[in-house]
Amino acid sequence: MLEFAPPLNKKLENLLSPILNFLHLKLKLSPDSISIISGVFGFVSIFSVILEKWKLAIIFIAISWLFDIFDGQTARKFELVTSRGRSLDLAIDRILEFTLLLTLFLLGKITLKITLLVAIAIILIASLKHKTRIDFGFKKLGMLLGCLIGFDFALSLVFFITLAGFVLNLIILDYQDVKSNL
Amino acid sequence: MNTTMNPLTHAIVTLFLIRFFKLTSREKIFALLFGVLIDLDHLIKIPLYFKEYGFKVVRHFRWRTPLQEPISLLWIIPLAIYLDSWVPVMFFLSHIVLDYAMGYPKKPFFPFNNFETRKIQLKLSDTAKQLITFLFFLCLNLLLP
Repeated sequence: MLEFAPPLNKKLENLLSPILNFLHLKLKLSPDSISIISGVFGFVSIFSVILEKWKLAIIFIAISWLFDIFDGQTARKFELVTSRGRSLDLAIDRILEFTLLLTLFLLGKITLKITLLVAIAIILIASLKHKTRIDFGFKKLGMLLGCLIGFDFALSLVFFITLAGFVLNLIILDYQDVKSNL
Repeated sequence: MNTTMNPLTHAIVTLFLIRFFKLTSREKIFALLFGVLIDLDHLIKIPLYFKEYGFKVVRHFRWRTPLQEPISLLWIIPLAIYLDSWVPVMFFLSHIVLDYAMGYPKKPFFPFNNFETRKIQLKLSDTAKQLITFLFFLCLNLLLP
C-alpha cells in the first residue's frame, strides 16, 4: 500500500505487527492465502451489491481492503515476497475492480460512459503501477460510497483520483530517468 | 542552435484558436491550460536542476516531462470525453505540434518506450521557425474581427 514511501511503510508494518504475527504464525496463513481471503471478501461484497445491500457491501469491501494490506505486509515482514504473489494480488485487485464496475453498470447505477472511463483509468494506472508502486487505491471502496454520496459523483471521484495517479506515475518515472542520466 | 518553443508563441497560437472557434469561458480555461500552461511542468525539474548544477547555465537539460509528450493523450482523451469537450485534445495537439517543430530531443512515448526524436525536419533554424510562426499567428489574430 505504501511501498513507494519506505519509512511510512515501516511504520505501518510495526503498527500491524501483532495482526501479521497472528495471521502468519498462529493461523499459518501464507501471503497468497491472505490475498485469496481478500478476494473472497471482495466477491461477497459484490454479491451484496447485486442484492442491493449497500451497507454490507461497504463493510465487506473494507474487510477485503484490510486483507489486501495484510498480504503485502506479511510478505515483506516474513520475507516471503514472490513475483507470483505480486501477480496474484494484482490479478485479484483488477478482477474485483472490473467486476464491481460491471455490476454497478448492469444494475443501472452508472452510465456506460463513466463505466468505460473508469475502466480506462484503471488500465492506465495498472500499466505503470508495477514500476513505481504508486496507486492511490480507493477504487472499490470509492465506487461503493456511491450509495451514500451518489454514484455519478463517487465514480467521477474514482476516475479523477485514478487518472491523477497515472499522471503522477508519468512524472515520477521521468524524474527518475532524468536523475539517473545526470 | 536548438531552442525551446517560446511560451509567447504558444500563447499567440492559443489566442488565435480561442478567437477563431469563439470558445466559451469554460472552454477558454481548458484552452489556456492545455495550450500554454502545460509548459509549467518544467517547474517540477527545478529542484533536480539546482541540486545538480546550482546557478550554472546548462544547455540540453531535459526540462520536458511526459505531460507535454504525445503519450499524455492517454489521459487527456479520457479527460476530454469526461468533460464533453474537444478543447483539451485540440489545444494539447497544437502545443505538441509547435514543440515538435523545434530541434531539441524529445521522448514521445516515455515511459513505455525510450524512443527519442528531435523534430519535424524542415530546412529552417529553430529561431526562424519561432519567428515565422509568431508573426503568422500575430497577423491572423489581427485579421480576426
